[in-house]
Amino acid sequence: MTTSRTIIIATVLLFACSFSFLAFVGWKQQQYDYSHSWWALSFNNPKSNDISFTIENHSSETAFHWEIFLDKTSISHGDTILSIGETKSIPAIATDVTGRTVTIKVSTPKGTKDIYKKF
Amino acid sequence: MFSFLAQLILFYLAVIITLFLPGWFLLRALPKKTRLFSRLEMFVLSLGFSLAITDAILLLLGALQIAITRWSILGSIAIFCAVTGFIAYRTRLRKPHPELPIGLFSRKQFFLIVLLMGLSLFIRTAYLQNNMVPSATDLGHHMYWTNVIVTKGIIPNYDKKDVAVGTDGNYSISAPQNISDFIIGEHLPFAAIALVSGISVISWFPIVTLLLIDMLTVLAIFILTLRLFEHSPQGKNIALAALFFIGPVFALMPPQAKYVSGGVIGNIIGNLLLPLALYCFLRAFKEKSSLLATLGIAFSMALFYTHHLTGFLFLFLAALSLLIIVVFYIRDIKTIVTDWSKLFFSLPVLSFLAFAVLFLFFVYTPTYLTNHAVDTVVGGPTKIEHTGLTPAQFKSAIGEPRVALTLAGIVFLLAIAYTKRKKVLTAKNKWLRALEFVLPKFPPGSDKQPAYHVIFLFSWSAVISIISLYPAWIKLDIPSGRVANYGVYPFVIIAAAVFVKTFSPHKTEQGKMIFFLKSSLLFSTFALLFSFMVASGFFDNQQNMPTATTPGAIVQTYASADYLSHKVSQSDVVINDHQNTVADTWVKIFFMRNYTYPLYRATNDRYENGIDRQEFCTLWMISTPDTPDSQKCFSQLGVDFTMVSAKDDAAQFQRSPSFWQVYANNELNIYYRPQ
Repeated sequence: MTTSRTIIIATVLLFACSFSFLAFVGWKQQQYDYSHSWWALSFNNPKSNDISFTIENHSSETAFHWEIFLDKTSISHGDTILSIGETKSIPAIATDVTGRTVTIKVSTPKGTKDIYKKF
Repeated sequence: MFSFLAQLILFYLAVIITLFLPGWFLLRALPKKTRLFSRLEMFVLSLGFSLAITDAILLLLGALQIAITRWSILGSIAIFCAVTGFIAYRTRLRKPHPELPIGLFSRKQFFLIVLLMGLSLFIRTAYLQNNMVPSATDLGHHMYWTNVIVTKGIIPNYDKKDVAVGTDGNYSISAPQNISDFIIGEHLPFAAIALVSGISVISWFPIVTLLLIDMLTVLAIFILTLRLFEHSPQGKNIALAALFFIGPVFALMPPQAKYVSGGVIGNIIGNLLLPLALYCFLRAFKEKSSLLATLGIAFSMALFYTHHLTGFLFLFLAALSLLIIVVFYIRDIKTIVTDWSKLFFSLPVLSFLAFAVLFLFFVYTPTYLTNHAVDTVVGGPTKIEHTGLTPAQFKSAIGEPRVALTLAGIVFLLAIAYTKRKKVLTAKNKWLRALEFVLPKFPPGSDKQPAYHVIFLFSWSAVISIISLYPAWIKLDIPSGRVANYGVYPFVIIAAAVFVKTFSPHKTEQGKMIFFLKSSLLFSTFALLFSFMVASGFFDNQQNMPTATTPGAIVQTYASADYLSHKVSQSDVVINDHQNTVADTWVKIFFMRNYTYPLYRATNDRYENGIDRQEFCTLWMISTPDTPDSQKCFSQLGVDFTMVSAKDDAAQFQRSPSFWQVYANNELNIYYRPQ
């Protein structure tokens, strides 16, 4: 006959295997860089007139081109290299913005995102 | 990788400290003349009691105004374990007692148990690996309250601030209003693990903890079935069949893996505590043990501090059992009442009841009592989902083969009762005796003691069937589907008994071993039934298996919430969306301001049913942000940040001159509305 102690040991081992595997999957998938599929663009100060912005890269893209528009006129542009997991803040200034829209457009070979403030 | 390994080790340590040791020490400290439990029973009961003890310790800390922290929890548990450990040392058995017969299994049975547990875990693991980044709505709500305990070190006051519409048609954020939807026992174990391990509530640990509790429920059903059929020669085989019916087949349907990933915490813990309470009461009545009755009452108390719906079911079950005993055992009622008096008017029971009353009044009263929320679940169904299931829906909720086997068992029993009542069954208690034909008398040879195992099983399944199918009969107003899910457990046990009895030999009055079925039919019927069970169960598993995972989308919700939580001031008000964004209920954990911060647009039916939402501001502000009504809502409520799906709801904001788009990732955009 087998005592229930053996059943408990076997059950605890099964639990440990399953829980450790699930924990690892959850931990890995929760890393922002896990899916290599997304990046974000945001204003450093969303409520003020400051138009400095940040690119946060969690994708396999590395080359980012940015351009600042005052209404539809480009006033500044540049390129930046960001490896996966890297975040970069880009300082920017625009003058004479009252009644106009400042748009930050960032593009990679695979897509474009923009953020804007309407003054 | 190192941080993960450290997390994992801390998690296991936290689980052992909070969910195993307190219960284990308590059970070791119980006065005893011989071994009370098999090792397997000890293992399952330790985890069940630890849930209750950890809850009680945290509530006591809260009542004593001691901050709930890692060290206060560890200190309290250490004191509890030291005291009970000392008592256990003093009351230990002087000579080693062998394992109870109920804890001994043949090699084949051992391998079958391990195989079934392994399969059960494997299927649940395969399902949950696609849900390990937490995003479920209910789990998000629960983890908010858990995080209140973790971050503030206090027992939370369950309240929320809603959008209020004044008599003048103006909008405002209301003063805090009490909520009765949450019960403290749903959050305390998770808070204890989070504090002791230091792992964030936004992680894998809540789902793994729920899986642990779900798997313990499977074991709890196993040990309960072993005790229910302790006196049957087929008892262990029935328990194994129950393990098969509850473990690997229909492993994903509610209330199992689906509820684990969905974070339906109250149900999952309630599903563990209810069988454990029944286990203790069953043994208490059978063995006339006031100690076991005390343990049963302790589990019932934990139930009422964790999940009121399960608590209600337990009360109905107890009431129906009592009614059955009064009706069927009226001639022996004097003996029964005498036995019960000795059981309940005993020192352990009365002492514990006194403790429970003091705890209720001076330590913590569940919110559904303080808010008088009991009134909301009586008086008959008010919502469409509370009006009862159709038989087809009920069948789906339980699992077709389980219902089929249970119904077959009932028909089988009625047929036996009809054809053999004069020969095999005496007129007295003939229906219960009929049940005993499949569910043997307990204990054998005792006529005056009620067949508690039969009565409990019958009451358990009957109460759930009635509330699920015909709630108006007993004037209840609770979700019928949720209740039906509880039926899985008694139906599994009855189906297992019918299945095993059908294919097992039994002894005739002449002492001859015969099968119910002719030998020519035996194998083919077994093969057919077994295939039906396996095919239906695994088909159901396959149907419930998710096809796509969205961890990328979920972490983008986290990232946008994290961004905004660092940018808002105390005066800013945020709204997000429940219709088109994933993991939206988790956003509030990044802010930790109020249960309803951010405000959110609910699903459309919540505005249409006339019950859940009395205002439309939260709908308008996202669906039509530029209309005068919406602008009035934004201004009067002070809402200045909106988080919406970049794919489904960005267009209306981009067209509007009132909003700045201040954040964008692949899934979500954030808009700012200057006031």
